[in-house]
Amino acid sequence: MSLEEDAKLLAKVELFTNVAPKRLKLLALASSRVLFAQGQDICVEGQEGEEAFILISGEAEVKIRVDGGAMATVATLGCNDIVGEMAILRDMPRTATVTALSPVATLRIGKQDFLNLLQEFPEVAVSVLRALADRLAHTTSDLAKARAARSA
Amino acid sequence: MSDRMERNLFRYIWTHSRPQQIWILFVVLMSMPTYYLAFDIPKQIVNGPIQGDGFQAPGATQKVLSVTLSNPFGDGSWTVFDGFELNRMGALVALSLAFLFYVVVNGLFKLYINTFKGRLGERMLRRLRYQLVDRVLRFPMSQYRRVRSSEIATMIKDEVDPLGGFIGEALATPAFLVGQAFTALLFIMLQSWQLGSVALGILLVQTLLIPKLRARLRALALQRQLTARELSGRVSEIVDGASDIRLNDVTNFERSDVSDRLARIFFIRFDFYQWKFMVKFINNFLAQFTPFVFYLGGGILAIRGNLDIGQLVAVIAAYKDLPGPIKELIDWDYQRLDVQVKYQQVVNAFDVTPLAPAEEQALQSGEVPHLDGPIVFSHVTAVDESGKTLLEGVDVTIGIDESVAALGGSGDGAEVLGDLIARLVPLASGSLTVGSTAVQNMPEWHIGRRLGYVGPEPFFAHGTAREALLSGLRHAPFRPAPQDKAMSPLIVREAQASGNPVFDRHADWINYDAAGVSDAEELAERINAILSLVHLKEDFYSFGLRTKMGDVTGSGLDEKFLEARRLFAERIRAGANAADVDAFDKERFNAHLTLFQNLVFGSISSPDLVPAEFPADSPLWSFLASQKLDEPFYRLGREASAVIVDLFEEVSDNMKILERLDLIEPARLGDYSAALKRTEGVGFANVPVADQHRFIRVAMGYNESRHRLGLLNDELRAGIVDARAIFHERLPERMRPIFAFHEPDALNPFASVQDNILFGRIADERSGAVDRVSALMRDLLIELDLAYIVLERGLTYEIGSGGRRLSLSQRQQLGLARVLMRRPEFLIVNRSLSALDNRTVEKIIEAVVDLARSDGFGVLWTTSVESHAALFERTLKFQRGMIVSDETLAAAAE
Repeated sequence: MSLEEDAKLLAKVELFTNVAPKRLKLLALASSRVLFAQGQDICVEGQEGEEAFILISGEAEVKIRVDGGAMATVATLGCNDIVGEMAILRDMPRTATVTALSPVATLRIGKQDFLNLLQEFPEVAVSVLRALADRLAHTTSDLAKARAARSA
Repeated sequence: MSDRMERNLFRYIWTHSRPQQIWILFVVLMSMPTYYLAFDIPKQIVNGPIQGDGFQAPGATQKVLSVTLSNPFGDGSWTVFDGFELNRMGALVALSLAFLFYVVVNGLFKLYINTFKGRLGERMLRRLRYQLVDRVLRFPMSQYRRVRSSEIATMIKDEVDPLGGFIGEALATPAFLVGQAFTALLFIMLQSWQLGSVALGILLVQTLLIPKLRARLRALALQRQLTARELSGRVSEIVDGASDIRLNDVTNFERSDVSDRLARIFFIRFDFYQWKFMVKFINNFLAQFTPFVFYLGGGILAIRGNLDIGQLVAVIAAYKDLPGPIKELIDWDYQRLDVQVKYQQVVNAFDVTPLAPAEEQALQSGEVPHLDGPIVFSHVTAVDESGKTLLEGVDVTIGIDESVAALGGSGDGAEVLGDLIARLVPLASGSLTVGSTAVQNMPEWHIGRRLGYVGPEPFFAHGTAREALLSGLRHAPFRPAPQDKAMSPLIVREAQASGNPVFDRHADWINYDAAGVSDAEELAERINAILSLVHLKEDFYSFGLRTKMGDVTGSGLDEKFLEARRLFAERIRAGANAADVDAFDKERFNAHLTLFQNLVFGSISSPDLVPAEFPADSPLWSFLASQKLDEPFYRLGREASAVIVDLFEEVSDNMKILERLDLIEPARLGDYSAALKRTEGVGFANVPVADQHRFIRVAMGYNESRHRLGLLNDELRAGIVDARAIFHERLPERMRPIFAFHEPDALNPFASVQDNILFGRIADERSGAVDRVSALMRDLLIELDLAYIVLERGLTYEIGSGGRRLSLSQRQQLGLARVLMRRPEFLIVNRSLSALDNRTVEKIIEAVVDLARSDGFGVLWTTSVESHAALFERTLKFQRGMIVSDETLAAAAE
């Protein structure tokens, strides 16, 4: 477990793909390793989130509450997946509960640390913006396709 | 007794020290005869026994030491004592002994007079200072917003100081000097009325002109004092507002402001000196002018034969005695001027009306009456100091046991309701009564005991948290001080002589009745309960856990804490999360400690003994070298520095991310960058010692789990553990008392309570570890009856001046706790928890409302948050100074 590895891990996150490695190292230094035991919740639906977690090892399941209050598993996360990335950009409650299926090692990125980084290095903000724009473009084109499919 | 201050300094002195002033005057008069005799005897010795006057014949005898009173206006004289008939040698011995006697008597007189004057002056100073502070305590509330605290402090501390010295001399000195001058003048008059008139004339000019000239000095002295006081006020503003000044980059404005003030002070002072020396010059000239007239005028008279030469010589000799007293008188007058200006200034600042009547603050050691009915506002209007209406025509009745929320944004007037009851804001019109009494007629000892008020910024004096918490209970000296600390009769007498109160400061002032407890143990329980009510218990409990073990251990506690350690280890091993704590083990490297901590594996008594502070000649360096750790440490430190410098070099100074950087002080990044370049490719042996130390220091602070630079290897870990044992063995004898090693069977007095119980460090990378460990530890401490001891330790935390070592939210919670401690019958909480998060405020409100219901007291809670107001039985909604709705919850009405 080293800074170097953590920085490489961050680089794999979509949001940070365009950020210079040196800045990611700084973010990695500001972040910390957090271990979850099997069965422990990494985040809970509806609660305020102040941090994002990147899975380093282990597996976790994503569950949401469906009508009637039962929990339904919607996805399984593994190495390099990120949990709660939007929480570090805006205030919003968690949209799902993520539970460790095995012992899970994560890298925790605090919202404030991330915002501090953005403030200090505007080029990081631009990179993140570009990543978000890419994502928006994908979503828009997906939406257009879906609409086209429906009207067809 | 009038509450106005005496404006005339002399009348003040006369009122408070008449008998003493008369006595000292009397003693001074008494001392005069011996004073003059002591002057006279040397002449007799020289003329008589030594030169042989009257002893010409062998065996001749003379009468010495006769006492004769002569009539200065006639020829008659009356012999009181004939004197001794002695021969030359005998006369010499007798006269010399007499001289010695007079010297001793004079000395004793002087000693007595000076001591008496000094004590008188000090008593008066004490009286004046006490009166000033007493007045400050009785100022109208609005006055506190107008004055600068440091200026008030300067006045009480420095400006009245010279008064003490002056007061003792106020009457005796001038009387004595005038007497001396008058005698000398009279003597001159008797010799020659012409020359006497000249001397008198010049003296008159001197006494009339000099004070005129000094009027300007007086004005300057006043200005000098005012500007100096303003400067001190300004400096304290700079200190208090330093962070705002610096964060707004206005330090240079402050510099120029200070420089401007100093310039003004400089010119006032310089002007002052110019005048002072000019006046001195004129004064000296006039004083020397008189002899000039004597020599010339007296000489002419003598030459013409109108004056005999013997008389002229006598006049000139007598005149010698005149300038001395006159000069001293003028000096005295100057001092008087100075002191009077200061006194006037002080009076102007402290003679404020209306003062709260003294009876309103009278000490009440018994039970005070209960609040006997609802709080009724009728047609109440309040305005602020600028004349803006805060509250207009409010009519409302609040039951004495009702829980009411006053809801409104700032400026809507909600908070004025509470401020009016607490009398922080005066009533402009209308009436406000509590039961049968109008609020403005309630004495402070009534309001201050039965009514609780907390504002948004509670103030705490410097001291411990416990003192702050109990500071609202110090109503009277309830239980006498222990024998050895109680006021001695001397202290009581002195206090009375200076008009000070004789309440014993060292008595126990805590009002147990008000807190609803009967002894110290119950008080402890109450503290415990109130702190958990305001959600502060955890904070102080963790302060307690962080204090040094050595400060906690008392009789029999060591065993209990060791037991706690043992049980903790047992339980954590038994649970599923044994890895939550990285336990201390002599044989193992601990990843949650820094390299330095791993090496010494113990704690140091002095907190400043950290690697960054080690001097270059510390034995530690040679120890590292002897263990062959210096080079690996240097390499590790250099590598860590390289990463840090690389990452942080471009980071600007104010970046919060720098907070994460604890290995290298941000300000020294440049030094390290330079050192890295300097040592690039240089073998360890050739690196300058200063650079070796520089990087080794970084390595010592390196903590693998925290910094994650991946710089440690097993070989180095093993090397450190090996060196650890040798370090313990070789620790020099003189260092042993300041080191305590982590031993499994002994408490470490220099480590924190928490470290001692866990005997390890929390593995904080494990999610939830901190919470789980804290909970386990807390249960254990409760089980072993140690929790309150730890909390109590936490309460000895020094909160700093104004409580500044606590966060604003902690101060607000502590403020509420302080008021709750004394069980008010009606509690006013004015936006007091604004710095806390919503959820916590809600919990506290619920607890307070519950407590109010069970203890039967009323609450008026001002807030601008609707969800908070909803927790009360009744809500008064304010808008623009008026109540727009008054709703009572149906559930509560039932």
